[in-house]
Amino acid sequence: MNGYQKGTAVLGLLLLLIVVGAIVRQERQPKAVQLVPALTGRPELCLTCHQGIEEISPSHPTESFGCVLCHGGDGLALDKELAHATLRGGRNPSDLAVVEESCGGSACHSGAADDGRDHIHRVLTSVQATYAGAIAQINFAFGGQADPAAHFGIVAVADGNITTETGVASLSPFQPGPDAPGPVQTFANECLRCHVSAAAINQPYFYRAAGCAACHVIYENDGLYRGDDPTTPKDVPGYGRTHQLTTAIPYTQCNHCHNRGNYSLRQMAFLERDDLPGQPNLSAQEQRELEKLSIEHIAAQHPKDTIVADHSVLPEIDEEFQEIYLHAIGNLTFDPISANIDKSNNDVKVKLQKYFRRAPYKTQNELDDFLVNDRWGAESVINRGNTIADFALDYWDFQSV
Amino acid sequence: MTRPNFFEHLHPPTIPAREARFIYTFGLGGMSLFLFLFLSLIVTGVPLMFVYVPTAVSAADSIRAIAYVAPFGWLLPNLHYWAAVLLLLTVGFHMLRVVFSGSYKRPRRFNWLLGLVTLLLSLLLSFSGYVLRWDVDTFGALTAGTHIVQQFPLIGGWFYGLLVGGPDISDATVIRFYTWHTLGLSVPVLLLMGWHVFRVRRDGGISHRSSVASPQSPLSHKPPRIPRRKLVQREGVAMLALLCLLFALSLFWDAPLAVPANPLAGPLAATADIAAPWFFLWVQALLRRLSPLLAGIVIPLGVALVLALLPWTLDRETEGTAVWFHPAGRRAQVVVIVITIGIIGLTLWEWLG
Repeated sequence: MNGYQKGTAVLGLLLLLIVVGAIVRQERQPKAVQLVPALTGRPELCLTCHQGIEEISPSHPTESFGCVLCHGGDGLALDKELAHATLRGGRNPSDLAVVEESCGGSACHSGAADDGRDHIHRVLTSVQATYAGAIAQINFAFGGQADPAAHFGIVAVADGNITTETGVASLSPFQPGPDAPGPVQTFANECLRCHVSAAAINQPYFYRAAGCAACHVIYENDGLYRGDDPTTPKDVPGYGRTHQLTTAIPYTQCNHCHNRGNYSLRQMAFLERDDLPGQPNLSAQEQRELEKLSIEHIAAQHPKDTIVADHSVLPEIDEEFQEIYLHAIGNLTFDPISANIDKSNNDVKVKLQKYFRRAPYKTQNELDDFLVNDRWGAESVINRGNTIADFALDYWDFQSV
Repeated sequence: MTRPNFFEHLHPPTIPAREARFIYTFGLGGMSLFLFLFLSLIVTGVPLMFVYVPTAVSAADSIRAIAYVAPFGWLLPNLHYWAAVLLLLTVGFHMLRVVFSGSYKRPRRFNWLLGLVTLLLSLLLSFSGYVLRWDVDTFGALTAGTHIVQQFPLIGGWFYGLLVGGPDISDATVIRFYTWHTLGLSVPVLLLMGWHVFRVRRDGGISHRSSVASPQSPLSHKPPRIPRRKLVQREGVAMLALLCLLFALSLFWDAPLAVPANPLAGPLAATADIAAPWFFLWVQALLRRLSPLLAGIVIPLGVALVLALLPWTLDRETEGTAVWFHPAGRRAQVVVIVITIGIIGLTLWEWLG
């Protein structure tokens, strides 16, 4: 074979390889699932990737509405970035910035001209969206305005139809300048986190959406998705329970903003309540770790050599202690595996200082109370064991256990 | 004896061995021809015409239907796009080769003009194809381009109406650009290419040294030649290699698509920041700093004119053909190098800045 014949053979082989590559790519392409909603008549391919996602609600049937009518986006593109490039409001089309386009219209939730049916306008002028009451009270109390009436809101709103004695025609945006009283400025910077257009605080119990979905899309306390859309992660908090709107709104939904704690006007800070299970400021990773709990021995099973020196702190881990108290319930607590490993076999004082006092578990926080003469010993274990037993007897009817 | 056919008419019985080597021409002319035929007629253009809907509402949708839904549909716009990109590159390099090897000189000066006109029409073909995608990037380019056209003295308004088909960009514009792209520009380019190839033979074959002096015979003698069969062999391998490159590119990199244009949202909302196709980025760089008349019409036409008149103004010598960077053509070479560096520099400046 001369050079050209060899070249032709090589190139022919290469071309064959490429053709095979093309067939492979085609096989891996998702098969397009097309939906032609009755209200728009334009085909959409969203369900190709989002197969299994819940119908948003019985009053918004998928065959009539489709996806693009509310969400925007490029319904014909199967490339993720191209399809999502023009989504209204990102994941949430009911965000108040875009709600008029997504949910509005005279045939939809902007209603007819009379006030009662323009739901979107009512939400935009409601106290939950404007925060007008809280702003007015703080501003007046600290000398930022002369009277307790509402003048400011989160954003500017106007309402031509005033139906009550205390109604106001309009609110200006609340933007205290550098010459506003100090507490008012702090209030503006720190305390405006629970209105309908604010982004949710990323902590358990706080997870929610903005806009209409703030109430109408149920969020679990852990903020995890429980539905069937394969593209939505199930272990990253910040998603609704399912892709569904509802009018049957449980009180737990209200509690994503309400009943979360108390404002301290003195500190001008929000003090979160601390009597609920679940840790604040946990990442998803830590949440998962939380579910892997292990038993932690307060006085270590295998203490480190270095701590032997300080007898004032160390429990006397003599044979009696080991036999009777080391594994007694008073010496035990639960701990996530990672935290447990972290504590290692450090002495109790170190554990108390570094971990137990700061832990999110009350049962660890109160270990301080059981120190006797600043030491953790047999007496501590006995006392704590009794306390735990009392707790159990109080809270559980032993006949049903 | 069989009578020669059209193919053999275009392929001479023998060609000079020296100029048949790859490093003389790099096969760029042939590559351009192949890419154009592939692009427009044979494989990708016509099948696309079966699917593409030339209306403002459906244009972008029809492209997505073929790119995402039809089995192997993604191959079609990808091959078409990459063939277009490669075509402009090979045509550009082919022109540079012709300049630097002195192949524009007499008697090939008319063929030089034919080639240049083909180059300009190819640029317009690429631009019209770009516009037909009808997304926010290309819509911006269309708005800018038609605005430049309006700056033409005296005939600007009429020219704008001819292109846009009304006071504003609308359905009529899509249909007009579609017709230009599929017929109005591609048929003339096809004819010009045929004429261009024919003129190569008519002007005495590929530009070559007519006489060679060597130590064995101090008097000049005829240089060696290779038979037609060998030439066709080389062309075959080159075509196969180009095909492999095209398919490989189409397999791994998709033709770009952006958000569909919405003319109702107004010209500003419907455009992106960089609007020009890559081969016009240098014009966009000029447009940022100069008036549209200067940047969009005077300078580009000026460059085209300088290039067109090159064999009559910058280098009238007849010697120096088929020798790379022969001193006789120094002025022409320098001018072309300066223009090339200028265009590439402006392009990079606009792209990176």
